[in-house]
Amino acid sequence: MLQSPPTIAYQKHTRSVGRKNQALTLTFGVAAMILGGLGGRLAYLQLMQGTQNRELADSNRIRLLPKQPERGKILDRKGKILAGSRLSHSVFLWPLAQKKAEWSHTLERVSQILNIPVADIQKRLETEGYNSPYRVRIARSISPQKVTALAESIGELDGVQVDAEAVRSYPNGDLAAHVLGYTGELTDDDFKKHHLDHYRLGDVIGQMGIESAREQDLRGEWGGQQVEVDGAGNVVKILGEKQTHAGKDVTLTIDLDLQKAAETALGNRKGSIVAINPNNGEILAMVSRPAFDPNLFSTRISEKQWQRLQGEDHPFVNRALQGYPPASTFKIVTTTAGLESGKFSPDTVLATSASIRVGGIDFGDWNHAGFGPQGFVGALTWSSDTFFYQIGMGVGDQTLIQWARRFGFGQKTGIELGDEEASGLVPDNAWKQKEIHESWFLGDTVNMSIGQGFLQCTPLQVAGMFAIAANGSYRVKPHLLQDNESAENWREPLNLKPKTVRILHEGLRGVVNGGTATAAFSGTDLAIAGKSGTAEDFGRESHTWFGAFSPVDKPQIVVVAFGENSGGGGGSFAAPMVRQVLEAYFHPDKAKKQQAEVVAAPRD
Amino acid sequence: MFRKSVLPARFKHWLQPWQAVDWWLFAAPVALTILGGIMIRSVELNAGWADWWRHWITGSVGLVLALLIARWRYDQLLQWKWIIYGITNASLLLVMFVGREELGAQRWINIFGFNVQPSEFAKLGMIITIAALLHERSASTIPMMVKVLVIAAVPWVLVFLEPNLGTSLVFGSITIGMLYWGNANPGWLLLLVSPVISAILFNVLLPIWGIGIFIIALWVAFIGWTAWKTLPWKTYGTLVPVVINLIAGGLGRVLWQYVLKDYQKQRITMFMNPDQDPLGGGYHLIQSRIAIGAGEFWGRGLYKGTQTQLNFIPEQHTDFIFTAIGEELGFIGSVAVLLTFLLICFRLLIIAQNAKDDFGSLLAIGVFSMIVFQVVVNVGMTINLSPVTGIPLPWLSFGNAALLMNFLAIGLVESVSNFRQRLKF
Repeated sequence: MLQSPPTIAYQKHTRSVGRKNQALTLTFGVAAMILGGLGGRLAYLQLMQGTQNRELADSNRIRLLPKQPERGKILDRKGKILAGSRLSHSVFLWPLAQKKAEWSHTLERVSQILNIPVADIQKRLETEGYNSPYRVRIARSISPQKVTALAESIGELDGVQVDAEAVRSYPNGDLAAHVLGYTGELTDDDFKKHHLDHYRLGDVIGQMGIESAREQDLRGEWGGQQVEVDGAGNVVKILGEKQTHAGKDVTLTIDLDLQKAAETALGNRKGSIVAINPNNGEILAMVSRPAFDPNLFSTRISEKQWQRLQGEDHPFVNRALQGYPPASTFKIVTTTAGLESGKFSPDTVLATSASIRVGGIDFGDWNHAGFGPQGFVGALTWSSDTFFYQIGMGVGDQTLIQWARRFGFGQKTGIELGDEEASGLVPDNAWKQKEIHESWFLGDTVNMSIGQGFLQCTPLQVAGMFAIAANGSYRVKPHLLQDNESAENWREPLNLKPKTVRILHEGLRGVVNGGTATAAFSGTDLAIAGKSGTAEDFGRESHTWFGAFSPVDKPQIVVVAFGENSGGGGGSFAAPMVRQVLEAYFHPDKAKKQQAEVVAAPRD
Repeated sequence: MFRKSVLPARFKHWLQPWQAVDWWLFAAPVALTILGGIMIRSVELNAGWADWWRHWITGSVGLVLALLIARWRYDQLLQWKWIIYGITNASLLLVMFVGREELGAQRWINIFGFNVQPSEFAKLGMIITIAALLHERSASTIPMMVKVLVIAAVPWVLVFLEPNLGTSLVFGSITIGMLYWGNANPGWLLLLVSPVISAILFNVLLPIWGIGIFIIALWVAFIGWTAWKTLPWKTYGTLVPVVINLIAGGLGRVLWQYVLKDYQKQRITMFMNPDQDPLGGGYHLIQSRIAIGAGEFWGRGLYKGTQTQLNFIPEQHTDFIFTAIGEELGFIGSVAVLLTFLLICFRLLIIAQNAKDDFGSLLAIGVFSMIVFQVVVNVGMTINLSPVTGIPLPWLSFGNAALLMNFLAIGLVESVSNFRQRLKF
């Protein structure tokens, strides 16, 4: 070896690697791995277990049976069920039970019995795939008659299975529909959009409200079985199993009885009612109309039902979380801005009149006459517009805007419903330049001082404002979940002067007691303070508001009622609803007997 | 032997340039490629697409390239080793930035409409680089071995970051195999892989306490003894590997218990007990096992395997092609395929043994390591003996880059065979 001449100049040496024993080791190593390891295992699988394996393959007898966990319940603050589950019958197909070409006869029969188009069933089957070991659900919640009809002909329907399945149920129908949301089957689009882990097509998923927001808690953990079936499709052996884990129950701050009272109070009128605890932000009731029945989506919603829902005026929009001009209820902010800025003393008395002229435009008072000389308390009591124009101009747009934001306007409250909440709008110069391409005029300040113009506030934000007026010192975070302790303990102190709070309390008390909403509250034994509002919506009927809290000295509850394009005035339209809810809260027994009554009252 | 007696005289003239190549080493891969095309076709029959013939086209191109390479002097590559190393790393870097993503990993670059997988060619680049390094000086000293390891680490890390666990494991096996052939002390190689073994042992044995701890202690003592015997610096040389192994074991335990998520752990251990996730990844492993088992001795016949024809097995034309062979060609077909691989391995070893220089010998061993590892892990995966790592089966799995690369590798080794002695013309 050594004497053989190098073939290329830079080759320094001949062989130094690869001794005989190394080659031998590798030879034995490889032979052992390939023949012993792999070959041995092949012999075991193909020769020793070959017959069993061929049987399994022949019949394709392995099926996968995912087990749905019980979805967590949604409970009210006292543990009453708002959303639960009930058992119903679903129909499934096992794609593997028949060859692709043989299905058509079965599909036709099933289609006749269930009254579903063949094409629909076929599409479901194809989406899952004819070789899928999973069963495909083709109908949910079928009637007992159909169950019987299927059972009678099940002998000729290979691969069709009727099985009991839990279906989401909302025992109170459309009660609190916007809070609860609804559940539905995961559609193709959802699937692509969300890239959901651990979900399969057809799984039930929360689509709105708490059902969607708390999906991860409510859903639970899927389990399942891998089973071997016989020719007839009966389970012979369970090959593998994974336990299900039920979803967690979610307890809300909603009080079912108060919610019912609020639903009754609002009736079929478009708008919303919100009731919160002014001391910690718990939402006790939240109604929005028009509403929908979430039960419709638990099974499969029919085209007709869907069309009808779409025909109504946006029934899925939670109006408690949409922005509208807050109108005169905003005078609470203007009062606070005037007093806290130091521009106006608590003893201020201003002349009010039929109108005042600003920048060449007349801004009128709502009664077209004025109320003579008034202090803050009197101006709130009578809701004098011209009084608050002067306050607004006196403090200036900056201060007014600043106070609007301190009261929580223009930003989401952070209620646990995510994107379903609008942030509203507190306009300022920068916003107006950008959106309207105009600078801020004094007239905008005048408008804002009585809650008109571009200002947009949600009923929930307005409830938050009343909570500040009620507790006299801090902003709270409205929330729906009982265990949301961070929201419950959240406080933003506004450091109001005691005098300011006293004026607010006296003024708002005056509204109910001799002022614009006197008629709506006549004869009540409750100590209520409130403020009405009527917002013009050009070309349409006006929006109406009434917000109130009670008892005045130690408030326990804030109620805000809002009518969308309801016409009329806050004192006449919305105030009676608020009264009804308050009566229900403080006199729960009496309230159940009472019927809704609309009391005529002067406009604010 | 074979070539002298069988070939008619008039071909001799044409075959002159290839007179010393190993014909078995051409025949076996060609046979596998032909079989691969047929099996891919079988898988595709009911899957709604049919590009199995591309396997044969690529295979033919690969074969022609291999024949051309075989008549070209492999030892010229010696002077190009750093260029090859540079291109290998550059292409791996490139794929990280402009690569096409598939299954969550950056693996492909598009060149003139062709999807190229640089990690496949990197295997060959790495074999050439390491062979050239060990040719200059063998790995019989620790500094030389460390040098090889450091140089091999760069492409290894790049592939690992793609992330492409399968190929990075192939890199590892190539490096270990070549170091072993390159006169590295087997004890050092054991020390090299020992931390991984420790991490596994700690996880498996620590929960058993008594006997488990005893076995761990034995293992660590054995590592210490190996280090004492093989490393030049006795005290530190023993202490450091022992400490490293203890730390690796502890880290492995922490990683497994606290860092890895359940689904990640499942992916690793699934092959041992597919029933633990009957509705997820385990289902496919069970179907794969059933398919192979259902083949019994003679197989169900080509195009007649129910598991294969009904598409019960995912990725069957690529990583799981062996299941089609197992089901349709049975034990006899599967063992024939394994024997063909064994034949390839033996021919590679013989060429490695007879090569004229270290470079050629090491090239053959590099290719040998690569093929053995891929075959064992891939086939092991289909019969639930090894985890699912995404390693293709050489010449059988559908995949242009891998197929081409395997033929290029054969061409290179054939060149080693062809020029194993001074030619007489």
